[in-house]
Amino acid sequence: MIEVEGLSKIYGASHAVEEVSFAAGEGEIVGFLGPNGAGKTTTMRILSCFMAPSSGSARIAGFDILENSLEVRRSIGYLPENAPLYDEMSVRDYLNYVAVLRGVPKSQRAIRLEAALDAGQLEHRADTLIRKLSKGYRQRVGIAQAIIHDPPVLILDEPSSGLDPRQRAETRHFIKSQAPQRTVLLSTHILPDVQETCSRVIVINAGRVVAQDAVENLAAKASGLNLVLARPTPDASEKLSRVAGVSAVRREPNGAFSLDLTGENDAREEIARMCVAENWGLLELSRRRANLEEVFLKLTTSD
Amino acid sequence: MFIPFHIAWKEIRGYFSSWIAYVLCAGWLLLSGLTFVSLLGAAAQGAPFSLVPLYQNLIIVFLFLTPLLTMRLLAEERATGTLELLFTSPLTPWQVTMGKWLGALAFCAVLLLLTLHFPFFVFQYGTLDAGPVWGSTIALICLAAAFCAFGVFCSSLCDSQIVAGFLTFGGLLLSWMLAWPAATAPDNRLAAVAAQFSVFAHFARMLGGAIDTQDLIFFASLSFFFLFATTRVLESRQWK
Ligand SMILES: Nc1ncnc2c1ncn2[C@@H]1O[C@H](COP(=O)(O)OP(=O)(O)OP(=O)(O)O)[C@@H](O)[C@H]1O
Ligand SMILES: [Mg+2]
Repeated sequence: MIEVEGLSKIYGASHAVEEVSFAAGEGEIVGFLGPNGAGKTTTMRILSCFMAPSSGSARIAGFDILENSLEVRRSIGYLPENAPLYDEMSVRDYLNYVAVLRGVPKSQRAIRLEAALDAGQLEHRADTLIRKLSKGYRQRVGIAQAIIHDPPVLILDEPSSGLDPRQRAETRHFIKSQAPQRTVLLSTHILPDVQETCSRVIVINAGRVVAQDAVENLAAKASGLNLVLARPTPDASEKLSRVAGVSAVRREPNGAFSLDLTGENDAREEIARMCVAENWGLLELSRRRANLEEVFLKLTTSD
Repeated sequence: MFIPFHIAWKEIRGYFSSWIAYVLCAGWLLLSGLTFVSLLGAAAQGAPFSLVPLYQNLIIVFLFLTPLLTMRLLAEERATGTLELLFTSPLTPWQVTMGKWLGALAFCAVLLLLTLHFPFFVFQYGTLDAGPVWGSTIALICLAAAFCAFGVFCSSLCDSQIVAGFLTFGGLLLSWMLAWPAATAPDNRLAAVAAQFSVFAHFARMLGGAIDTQDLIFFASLSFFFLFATTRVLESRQWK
C-alpha cells in the first residue's frame, strides 16, 4: 500500500530526510518513531503530496506521489502535526466542508459525517464552534477529518498529542480497529502506544532509517544479560567481550556486569563455561528483556 | 456543485461570521449614502444631476476595502496550517485560487447590490439616465475583480495577514496613482504609457457608460494574470 524508495528532502544545505526507504502492506499498522527533528513530519508531508521530495519516489495505493498526485490524495486520510481547523466553523460544518474538499459524493456525506463524528467521539460537540474547543477536542476533530472520505490509507502525525489518558486509550483502540480495512502509518512519541497498536515500527534518526522490524524483534535485538560474579578478575570485562555474540560489556559495582548481545547466537552457555574455567564464582546469570524505550534510546543515540 | 463555489461559499460565511462583513456593509452604506445626499444637495442648487460622481467615489472605497476582504484569504491558511488540509485534498491550485477569488468578489457584488436603491430613487422621483448606471455597475464589478485578484495574490505571498493587507493597499494605490502624471502633463509619452496601466484611467472611461472591449480585456487580463500568479505561488510551496 505504501512503498517508499530512497526519499530525500534537502532544506538549503541540510538533509531533513535522507534516502528513506520502507514499505507497508495492506492492513498493516506501522509506527514511525524518531527523536524530535528526525524527519517524521517531513516524510509524512511528502507522502501526503504537500511537499515534493528532493529525490526518490513513493507509491501509495499503487499511485506515484508525483505523477498521480490527485489519485494519491484521494486515497489517503492525513492528520497533520497541527490539526488543520477553521476556528470560525462549527465541528459539523467543518467536517462537512472537508468532506466536500475530499470529494465525498453528496449522497454519502451524511453517513460519512456520522462515522467521522463517531470516530472522534464528538457527537455531543458537533455544533460547537471549533474556536471554543479544548486542545484535546481539537485533536479529535483532526482525527475525524482524516477518515471522513473513507480512505484506504491513513497517515497520522502524532494523533494522540494533547489527549487525556482515557482518550488516548480510545484513540489506540480506534487505530487498532482500522487495521483490516486500512493501512495506517502513524508517528508518535508515546512508546507504549506503539507497542500496543503497531505491528511494525520504523525508527528514523537524523533523517535516516536506523531500524525497521516487528516490535518484538526489535526488543529481542536490544536485549542483554545480567551477570553477577563473586571474584571477578580485573580482565574479566575484556575476556567477556570476546565471547561470540556479545557486543558490549559494562562493569557495574559489586561484581555485576551488564552485557549487550548482538542477537545472533545465545552466548549464555559459553559465558557460564568461562566463569567456571576462570573461577570467577558465578552467582547469577539472567536475561534482560529490553523494552521499546531502551531500544529507541539505543538506536537514536549517536555515539 | 463545483468545488470553487464551495470554497467561495465558505469564505462568504466566514465574512458574515465575524464583524468584518457588518462593519464593511455599514461603512459602505454610510459613505455611499453621504455621497448621494451631497449629490442631491448640489442638484437642488441647480447643477445637472448625475449619479456618476457617486460611482467615482466608490473606487476610493474599494481601495480601502479590498485589502480588508482579501488579506486573510490565503495568508491565514498558511499561518494556521490549514493550507495543509487544502493541498492534501484532491484539489488543484486553480480550484483553490478561484474559490478564494470568487468569495471576495461575491462579497463585493453584495456591496454593489446595496447601492441599487440610489438609481431606484432617481427613477421614482426624477428622470434616470440608465446608461451610466449600467456602465458604472459593470465598471465597478470589473474593478472589484481585478482588485480582488491582486489581493488574493498578495495574500498568497506571505503568512502575515497584516503584511498581505498593506501589500495589497500599496499596490492598488500605486496603480491608481499611475494615472496622475498623464493628467498634469498630457504630452508626455511616458505618462501616457503609465496611464494605460492605471486601473483608474480604464475605470473612468467605463463610468460614462461607454463600455469598450479594450477596457473589458484590460480588466479581464489583469485578473487572469494575478490569479495565474497565485496558482504559481501556491504550486511553488511544494519545492520549498
Ligand atoms: N521549512 C523548513 N525549513 C528548514 N528546515 C526545516 C523545515 N522544516 C523542517 N526542517 C528541518 O527538517 C528536520 C526534520 O523536521 P521534522 O519536522 O520532519 O521532524 P520530526 O521528526 O517531525 O520532529 P518532531 O518529533 O519534533 O515532530 C529538522 O531538522 C527541521 O529543523
Ligand atoms: Mg513532527
